Amino acid sequence: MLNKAAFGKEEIYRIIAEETARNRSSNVWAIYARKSRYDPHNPGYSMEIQPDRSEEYARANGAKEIKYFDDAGRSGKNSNRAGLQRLIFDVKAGKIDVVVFHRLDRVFRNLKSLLEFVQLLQSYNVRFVSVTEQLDTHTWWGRLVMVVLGSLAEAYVWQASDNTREGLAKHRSKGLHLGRIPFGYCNGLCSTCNDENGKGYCPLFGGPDRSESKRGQVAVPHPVDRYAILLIFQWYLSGMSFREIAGLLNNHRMTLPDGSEVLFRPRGKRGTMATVNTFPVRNGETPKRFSRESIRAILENPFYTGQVARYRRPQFSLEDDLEHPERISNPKIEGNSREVLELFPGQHEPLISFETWQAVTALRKGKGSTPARLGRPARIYPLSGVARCWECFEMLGKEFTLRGSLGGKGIIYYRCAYLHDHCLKRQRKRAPRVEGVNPVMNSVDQELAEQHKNLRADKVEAQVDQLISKLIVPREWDDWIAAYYLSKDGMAEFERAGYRHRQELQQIRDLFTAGHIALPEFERRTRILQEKLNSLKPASRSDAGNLINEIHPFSEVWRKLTNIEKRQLLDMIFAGLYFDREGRLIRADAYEPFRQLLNLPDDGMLVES
Amino acid sequence: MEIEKLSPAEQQRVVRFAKELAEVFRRIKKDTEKLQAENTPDKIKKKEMAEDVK
Repeated sequence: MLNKAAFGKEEIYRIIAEETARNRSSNVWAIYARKSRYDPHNPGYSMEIQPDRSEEYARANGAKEIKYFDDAGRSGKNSNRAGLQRLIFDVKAGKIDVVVFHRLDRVFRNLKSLLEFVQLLQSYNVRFVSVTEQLDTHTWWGRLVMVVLGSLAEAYVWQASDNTREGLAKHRSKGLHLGRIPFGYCNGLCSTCNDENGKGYCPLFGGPDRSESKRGQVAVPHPVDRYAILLIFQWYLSGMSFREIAGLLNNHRMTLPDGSEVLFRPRGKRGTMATVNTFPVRNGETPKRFSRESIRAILENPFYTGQVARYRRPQFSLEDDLEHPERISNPKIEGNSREVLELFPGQHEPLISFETWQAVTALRKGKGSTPARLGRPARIYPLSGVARCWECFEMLGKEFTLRGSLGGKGIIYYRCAYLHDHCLKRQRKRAPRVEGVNPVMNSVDQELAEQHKNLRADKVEAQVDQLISKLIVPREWDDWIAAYYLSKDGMAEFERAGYRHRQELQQIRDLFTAGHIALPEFERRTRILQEKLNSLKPASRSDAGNLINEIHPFSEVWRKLTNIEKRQLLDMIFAGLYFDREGRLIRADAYEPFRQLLNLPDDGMLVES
Repeated sequence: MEIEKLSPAEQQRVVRFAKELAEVFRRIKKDTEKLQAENTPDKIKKKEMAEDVK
């Protein structure tokens, strides 16, 4: 315990400086752990061992406060990792003094990024410690070892990439499928079938395994889906488009050769739009749909002819951007990624003849592939993606978006996507019958079609403008907006600048509480530090100009926005804006905290329906 | 409404909102500067002279 009478003013300042420096030097340690292959059901021990070892080291070296950062299931080849990005943010904000990890390859398997990361830490006076290698990057020897070990870590991913490629090539040459089994086939393991389309759909579900599948090695034709493949190829040859085929499969039941009726269910990623009311919805999940793209992918795939194809694949890439991982682009494929480079005879049974596939390919390539709108500037509709159809929501309980479109007289409208896709009175082409597989045509929902009207964009958008003009941006947010206006790092940069002052402020408070300094001195020092902290607030900076005055009221800012900017902001603020057939805004579902700021009711209802 | 007191998801939303608004202000400033550069007295005079010649 210090006695304030025993110390002069200079002595007190010295104590404060020393305390601050000591706190800065070794107080806060960050532990980072990573594992690329991580299964939550079988996690193993790596993600426990890494932080445990690092923590032992940190405690043994005098760490008082420890922060944990981890990335389970993330590769070390680039910086696109949430845990690493949080660590970088805290380093920049001056909240970390030492970064510790179990092994060098846990941080990066990319030498260039590793060196950049070390440089970043050094520029913020943060120490970098590897528990296993015991590296000291401040010495030439430590740096040399780090570069060698970093190169070895990088070599591992190159080697893994090469091995995978060779393995895939061997698999392909044996005539076995790669990746997910295409629609129309299954793995034949009926006794342990976990296919979402199994129970209640496949007649063989739960039965004995099919011997021709060779214990799931070879794809076998699915007893139901195989007929969908036949229909798709025959319908396309009869002149139907991808969209028309998808529409028929989505909306109509088919009779199979055994007399049973079925509504085909596609595999793969779940669709976002509901089908007709007759489509069975299981467990409240959105049913899947055939789409134009899925039909195209089926027609392009030579797998149905009993062969396995080789396509172009992207080159292995270690592209990285430490501070802006969102800028890392996906590896590009040189040339046409869909072009079949080589065909290998497969072990699976063909569903269609090679001649049929060739005829379909010739027909597909013969059609114009240039979009009719090519070269025209894209029109941006501010409510796209956020505006919803209230009529469909009330009648079907489904959410359908309102699409913007330009009318014949230059008037812009919003139209219901359901109306556009299902209820238009279009003259459909007659679908040919295929080997006893006949479509059972059901009528389109004309009643629902009559419930819709095209909504004039000016009327609809004016209501949104009126709603958004009620938004009051809290004064507490000004600093954050100004921070991002002034710096790409946003508040992290300003928090870093204020860190020392806040630490000093805490020290002064501690000294005062312990009775080492008198009240006038405490008040004087606190005032000085508070002034320094206030001057660091982004909103009060002169280079932020009159930005803060422009934010309030928000309706003035809204008026100056472009359609793209409006759309992006609406997407952040609202989950959905529901308009009825008269174009009235019925309901506005806003995300928190914007709902409070807009003073919207909990259920979002603006009008009694 | 202090950002620190919001839930993580709300904080993330507000940060995105702040970033987007900052971007908007940068764009507005750029547009204003461009407009000012185009309408200097010299350039206005030149435009007027060109119109007179026509």
